[in-house]
Amino acid sequence: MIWLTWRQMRAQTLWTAGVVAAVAAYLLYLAADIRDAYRVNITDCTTACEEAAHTLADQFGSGLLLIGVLLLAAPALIGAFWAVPLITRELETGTHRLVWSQSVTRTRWLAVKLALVGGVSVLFTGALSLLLTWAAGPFDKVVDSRFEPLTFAARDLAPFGYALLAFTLGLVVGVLARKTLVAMAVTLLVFVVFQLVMANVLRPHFAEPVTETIAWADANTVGQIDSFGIGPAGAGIQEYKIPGAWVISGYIAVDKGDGTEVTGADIEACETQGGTPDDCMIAMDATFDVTYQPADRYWDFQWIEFGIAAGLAAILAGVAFWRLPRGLN
Amino acid sequence: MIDFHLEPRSGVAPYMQLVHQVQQALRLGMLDVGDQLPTVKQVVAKIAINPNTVLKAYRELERQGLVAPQPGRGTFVTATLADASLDAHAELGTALQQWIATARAAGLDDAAIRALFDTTIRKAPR
Amino acid sequence: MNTPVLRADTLTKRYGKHTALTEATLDIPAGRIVGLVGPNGAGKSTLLALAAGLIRPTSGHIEVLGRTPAADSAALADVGFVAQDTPVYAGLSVDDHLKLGEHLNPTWDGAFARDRIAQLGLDPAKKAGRLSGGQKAQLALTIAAAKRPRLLIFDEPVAALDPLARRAFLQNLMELVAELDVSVILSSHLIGDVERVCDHLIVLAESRVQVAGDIDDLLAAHHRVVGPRGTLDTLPDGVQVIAADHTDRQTTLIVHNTTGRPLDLPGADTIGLEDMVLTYLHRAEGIGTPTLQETRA
Repeated sequence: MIWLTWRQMRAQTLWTAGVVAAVAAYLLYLAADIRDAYRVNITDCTTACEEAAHTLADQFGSGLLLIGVLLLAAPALIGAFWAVPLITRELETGTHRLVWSQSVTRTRWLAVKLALVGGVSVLFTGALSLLLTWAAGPFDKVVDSRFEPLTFAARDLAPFGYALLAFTLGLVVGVLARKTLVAMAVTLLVFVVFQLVMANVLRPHFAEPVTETIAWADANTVGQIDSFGIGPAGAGIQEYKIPGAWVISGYIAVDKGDGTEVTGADIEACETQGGTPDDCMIAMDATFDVTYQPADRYWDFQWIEFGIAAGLAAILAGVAFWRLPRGLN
Repeated sequence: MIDFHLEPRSGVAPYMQLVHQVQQALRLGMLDVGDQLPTVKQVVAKIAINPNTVLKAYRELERQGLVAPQPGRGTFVTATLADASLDAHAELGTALQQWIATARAAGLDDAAIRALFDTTIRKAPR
Repeated sequence: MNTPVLRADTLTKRYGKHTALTEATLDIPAGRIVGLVGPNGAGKSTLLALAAGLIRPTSGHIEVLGRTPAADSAALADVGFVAQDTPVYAGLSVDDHLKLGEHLNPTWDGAFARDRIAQLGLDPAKKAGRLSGGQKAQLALTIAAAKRPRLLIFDEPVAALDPLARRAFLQNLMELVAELDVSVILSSHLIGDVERVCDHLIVLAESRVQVAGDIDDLLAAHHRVVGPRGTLDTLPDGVQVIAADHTDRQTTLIVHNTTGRPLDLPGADTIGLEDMVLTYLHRAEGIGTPTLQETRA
């Protein structure tokens, strides 16, 4: 069965390995680039070092994000294009009637396919994840945004879990739907929905987030105000960043010292007095509340995410095994 | 070696057809005492018929005393269709001619005679 | 070999509203070549798939070689199955298919398989997708037989083959049966082939078993009875009328003699296998009642 599975997957595996190798090569090249830039802009920095750090972030930010997105897409693609056809191609060409009359039970047939092809797909995805994490190391040190949703899902352990889940999902959908195109579409859809639900609904609640009131004066020591809007409606922070932490609050309204919100009138009064908006806010004893997951919870969350994905994968695999020997038409 | 063939629509049971073909071959001298009959495997590979049919035919030939199996070596002819039976043929042929004459005199045509013969031989006890 | 190769007890298979097989009860002894005949959609493929363990019954019971079909590796090793359209892996070569057999079957006889492939003149390097229909059938037969099973099951193996390929397949199959001493169940709608090759018959129509038994016994027990109209209205006990045709002067009956004794009825004659089968198929179409046809002379 091992021989047959390999023989059936040979072309696809080699071709994918080529792609993986190309991506890996690029990551190695990127890693060298980042380390070089890090040395120039951070380590050996003598003047305007904060700006230099920003330059580093800008230079590599989008590139790493792109690879991260690819790494997110990879499990979905693997589930759809590897796992689904493992089942549905046999069913559609009728070869299941040949292979299931040999002396292997259907359970063994599925188990070997799952272990072998699933294993290889997890390996490929996992290897790229580890490589990306290592390559982005210096960058992550500077930008420290690895807990952010898009990055979190593409670093360290999480992609291993997703690969496992996407693969077993593809298998089960293949067993139940039996038609290649339908199964592929369903697999992609379900997996995308899963990612969205995890990031927006479940992950924020793995642990009770921390809510902290921050005085305006300390705003840029605790974290960093990325963008801040001030106008007739009042004052609000569009994006607040805490290094290494995952800020869940979106738009944050700024309060005055007495607890009421800063109003448009307050802003106008401020502008007539002159001075920077910053001075204004400090004068008003402005504060704001930030809800976030602290940086030290990163690895706990990675393990929980992996655990959930792996647990779901196990359940799905169970469904596939239960459904299969019961006599497909 | 003898080559068999099957006539599916002859109305004669397949195994009997094989028996007749061996008997005919013996009469015509195509088979002689000591000759080997083809193995079951050889026969069915040539004419796609059930191996049991061949076994049945060979058993019938053995029952008639015409062949005998030699374990591990095959089935061999042990007797020809001897003159004794040829004599019987001549006698029977004469009796048959007389009977046919009687039947024709009674008004039966050839087809009626054949029909009567077929029905009678089928009902006749072995 | 005393275990029946197949035993079924009120075996039924339903797909949603459609019943493919209804309460089939069968007892097929070992050492036979069984012909399964019937029109398309009668339930032949369903019965064979149940016997091969590819599908499970909706209700009722089936046992092959004394075991639940495809229960485990040993049960699978004992039964060779070739599905309709002889599926093969189009992208794998003939030799790859032999390797497949070797890896997936502990009882595989590699020398036997290679010999047969050579004898058949198949090019081991040729991709299976490029073989002709006849060659594919021969390859499938070799793969099924090389694990030395006790039972071979074929679903319409020659339906799509030209007469030459058909004859070649049957020759090959008979040679295998002679060599391996294996029981065979094959479905066909060519009664001529069944007559040549089979010694046991199952007639399937309208999802039911119409008649089953050793062909010699069935032919001995079925008769065509011709007589003047009105003289055949009462028959001895145990003689069942399967079909009846009447003109104004003549009655023709097809009867099944279940008495166990030879039939002594004037006007009774033998009936050929094809006519016997067709009679049962006609009867099935008429939903179980004997066909009564008034023909104006």
